[in-house]
Amino acid sequence: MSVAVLTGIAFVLVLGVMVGAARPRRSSGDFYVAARAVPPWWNGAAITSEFTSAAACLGTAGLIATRGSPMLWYPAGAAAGFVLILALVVAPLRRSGTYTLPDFAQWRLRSVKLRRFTTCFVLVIGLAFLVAQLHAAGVVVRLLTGLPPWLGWAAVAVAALGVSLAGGLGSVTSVQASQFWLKLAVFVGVGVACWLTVGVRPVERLRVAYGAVSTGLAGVGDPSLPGVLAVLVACALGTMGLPHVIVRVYTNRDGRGARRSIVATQFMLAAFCVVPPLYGLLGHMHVRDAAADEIVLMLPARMLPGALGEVLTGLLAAGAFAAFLATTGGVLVAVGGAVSACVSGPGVRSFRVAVLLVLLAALALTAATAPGVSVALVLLGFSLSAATFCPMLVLGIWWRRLTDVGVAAGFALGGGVTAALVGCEQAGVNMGALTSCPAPVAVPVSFAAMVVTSLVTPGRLPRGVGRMLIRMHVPEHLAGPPPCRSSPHDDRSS
Amino acid sequence: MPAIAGLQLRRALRTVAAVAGLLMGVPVLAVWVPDPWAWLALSLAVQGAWVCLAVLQLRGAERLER
Repeated sequence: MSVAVLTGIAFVLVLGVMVGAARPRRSSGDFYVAARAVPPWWNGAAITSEFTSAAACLGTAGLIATRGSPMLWYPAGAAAGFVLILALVVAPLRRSGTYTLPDFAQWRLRSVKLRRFTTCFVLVIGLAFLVAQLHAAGVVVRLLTGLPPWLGWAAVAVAALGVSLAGGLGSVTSVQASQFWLKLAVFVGVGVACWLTVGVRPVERLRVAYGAVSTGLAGVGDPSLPGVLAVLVACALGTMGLPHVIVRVYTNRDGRGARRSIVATQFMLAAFCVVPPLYGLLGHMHVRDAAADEIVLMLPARMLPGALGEVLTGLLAAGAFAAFLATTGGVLVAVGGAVSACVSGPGVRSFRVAVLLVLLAALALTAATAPGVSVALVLLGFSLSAATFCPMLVLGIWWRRLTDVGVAAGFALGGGVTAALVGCEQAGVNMGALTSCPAPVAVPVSFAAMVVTSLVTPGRLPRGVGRMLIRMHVPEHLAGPPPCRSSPHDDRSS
Repeated sequence: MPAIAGLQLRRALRTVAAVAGLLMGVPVLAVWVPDPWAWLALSLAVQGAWVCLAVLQLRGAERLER
């Protein structure tokens, strides 16, 4: 049986899991925040599934195989972000009762203009993640079946769109949580099967040293020590503000449940984090001549020629499709929810239209950009998130003097510095490792801009900021009834 | 700012400091341990450290809210 046929079967298998897990929903609460009734362990599986995207499954392993041992630290940086979310953000954000990041911005700073500005950044970050997933799906389809990449984009786009339109975040959560276990079983199972055929040799062949500075989009794959540390900062702080991760916080019943979701995520992520090193080490030994995104999928056939290798490749294809669909669906509903609530207010019809438009934009951008940049696009999303939403959330939750003008200044400077550094690096202007990955420069700039601008605009301090802080920090069982605020009318946070 | 927020902030900053120390320290420390098994073990051990820190943070935060 050929790999192409097995890939088709794998896709149908993943679709079957999706159809079995998806549940049609009708209310706005279901579409935007899964009716705030997702249990922590289920939410944790959904978050992990969404977070272990094509970049994590295929890209990081490919980087370890091609760029060597310094890339072993990348998964650690991404996972560290969840400890920061747990410590600084999760419970207060859930207790705010808002639906999305822009909703939080409007509620905390009392500014509709800031909500629109925030929505723009949500859209940009979301599109970076979507394009990365679609490109990776195209690579898989081309590599395993010989068909044109756009068929991969279309397959993933149609499937993710179907789940999103059927039930929004409620439906996507069920699908993602189911797919996490499929993905974990497939990637660990196939990796261990390949490992057992070669013993411990892959580790012994690993060269352990940091390399010379090299540039890639947003500093991805730079094997120098400063380059690695810069990427770790971007991953850890960027995770805190990713719209599709943050929206999960709102799906729990209360702050306590939201905290427990993040701890569950940390356990599951730790289990999944054996995957990139496992495939990276094997790829370093057996598939050194391929592009980084292709190494994982080529591994079984190289190591075990014949029917067994083909079957294992088909299983990996199922895991890869599960990764694409989980992340695409999650990002789609998070961005679609933010855009629809900003443009026309929350509602099922506007949500569906926004999801469709966001997906069409992602498809157009995928067609206009080159494949093979999945990890770089994801890292760009992390960098932008670290330089914009991370400061807004930390200061908005813990510092009462933050103003809307301060946040706007931080967004403009943090986002601007990120764009400028990435632009310079793409134009061939090399300013060193710390600037090739913009986060170590852009994040302090953004924090400083928000603090300084807020201090010089005390007149913009929102009224009732004391009540907001009490609402965010006092646990539900000690707090009184929630005050009126800017969130949608059918909010079920109380 | 409610008093509980100050307590929670102090608890959170201790966790953040531990994360920052590990995140920056382990890749730097690895320079002096040029053994492939050690790098692999460290990269996986850090994941265990995140889990421990997360559990400690959860317990600490919930204790403050009782």
